[in-house]
Amino acid sequence: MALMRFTFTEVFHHRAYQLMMLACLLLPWLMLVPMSLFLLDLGKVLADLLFTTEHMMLAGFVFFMALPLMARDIEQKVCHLLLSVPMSRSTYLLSRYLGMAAAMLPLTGLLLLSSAAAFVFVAYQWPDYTTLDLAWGVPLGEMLLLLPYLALLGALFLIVVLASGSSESMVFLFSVWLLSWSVPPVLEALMRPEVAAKMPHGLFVLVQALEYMLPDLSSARLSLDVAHAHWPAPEMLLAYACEHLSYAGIALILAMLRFERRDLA
Amino acid sequence: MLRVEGLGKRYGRRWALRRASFEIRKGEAVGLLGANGAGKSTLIKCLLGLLRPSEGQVHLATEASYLPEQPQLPGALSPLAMLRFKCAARDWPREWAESALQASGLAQAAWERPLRQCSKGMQQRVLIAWTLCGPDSKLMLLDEPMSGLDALGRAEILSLFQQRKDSGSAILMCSHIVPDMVRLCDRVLLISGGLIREEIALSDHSLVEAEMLEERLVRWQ
Repeated sequence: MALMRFTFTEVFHHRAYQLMMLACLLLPWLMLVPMSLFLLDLGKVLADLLFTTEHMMLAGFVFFMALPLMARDIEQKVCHLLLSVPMSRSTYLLSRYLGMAAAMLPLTGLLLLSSAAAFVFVAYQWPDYTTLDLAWGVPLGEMLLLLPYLALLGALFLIVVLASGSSESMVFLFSVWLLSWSVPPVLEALMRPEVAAKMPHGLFVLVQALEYMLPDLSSARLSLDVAHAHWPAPEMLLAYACEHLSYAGIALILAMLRFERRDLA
Repeated sequence: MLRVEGLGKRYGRRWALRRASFEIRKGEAVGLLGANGAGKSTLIKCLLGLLRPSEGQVHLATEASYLPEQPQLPGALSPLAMLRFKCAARDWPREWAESALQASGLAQAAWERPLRQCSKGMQQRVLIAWTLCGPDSKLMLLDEPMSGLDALGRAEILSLFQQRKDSGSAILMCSHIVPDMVRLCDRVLLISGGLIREEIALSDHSLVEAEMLEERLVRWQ
């Protein structure tokens, strides 16, 4: 727990993190400007923009704060100091992960509060053009969008303990991120009945297996549904949460197993 | 406090350290002297478990603290936050953090300053405070502890380590600064090509002994 608090404090005192928090407060209000161009339905457009902002913020956090911090820990011997406290390598990784995951919450929370205020303002100013049910849609959507980034953070930990340095980690993490955005929609398209009918059975089974296995980190469909007030079934939401938390857990366990055996030269 | 038996580390087919055996008792300071790449840091990292030894055993019967060679400290945090973390992680009194910083000689004005604003010498003192923080009697593993310190600072830190030694701590120090090593250590292990070649007892801690050590070091290279 001490290292988790230490990690959170370290991130919190980082200038870039403070700027990100400021951006989370201001962006929902700044987005009212481009949003005013779409006068047909302000609520949906605002929700779309907010989800995009959250994606940007969390991806920015993982790539530009969490990755350099973890890579520095291993490359620049900070983990030697921390491990000499002493603590086990698994405790070190888990505490670092939880600290960074906790640091994502204030970003999401601030974005949520600020966007709620912006939405109330919009609903008050232009009630005829606002249809989205803010009470649950946007807050829950924002919390759900956090889950893929917990999985990505888990992947980051696995990559950092396997890679030889920060550049290599960045390349691999970017590849994972890119693939997790681009491959699942392609697989989903291949699974459509009209496409599947023309596919050899073996290939279909393979595509189906891949579709089940690969995480969809983009959450694009979910964002779209929520932004348009179409609620996915509760069991779908549960499956979505379990999927991402499982990926985070699996990546973290693999990272711990590897890190236990790694020489820290 | 520490017993090492036949410790070795191999990278592929190359042995970075081989058959290292020695013992360090309470209140004793031992120096590790060798050229770059001789295996000094490898030995210390094997003792701490940062490197998995390929052979041999380490018996550590006490608390150990470690000062790595020039790590990059978390720039956003203050020295006090770092030390308080160590105390919190071990359930030690928070005041030990302040005592260690005080003992390291770091000016109080710098205690709450972000580490990125601290000079190299100040950061080295923070690392020394990190090593000192904890119970009095323990094993201190120091990898180039005088790095970045001026002559006055080195003298101060040496006398601090001497005090710790007198109060029962054991020290294993590797350094390139032979006179510093001679002033503090009771014995020196000469290491070359991954092997401990000689164990030299120091008696009068004089410059003559320092010169003798340098000569032996050159001979083994």
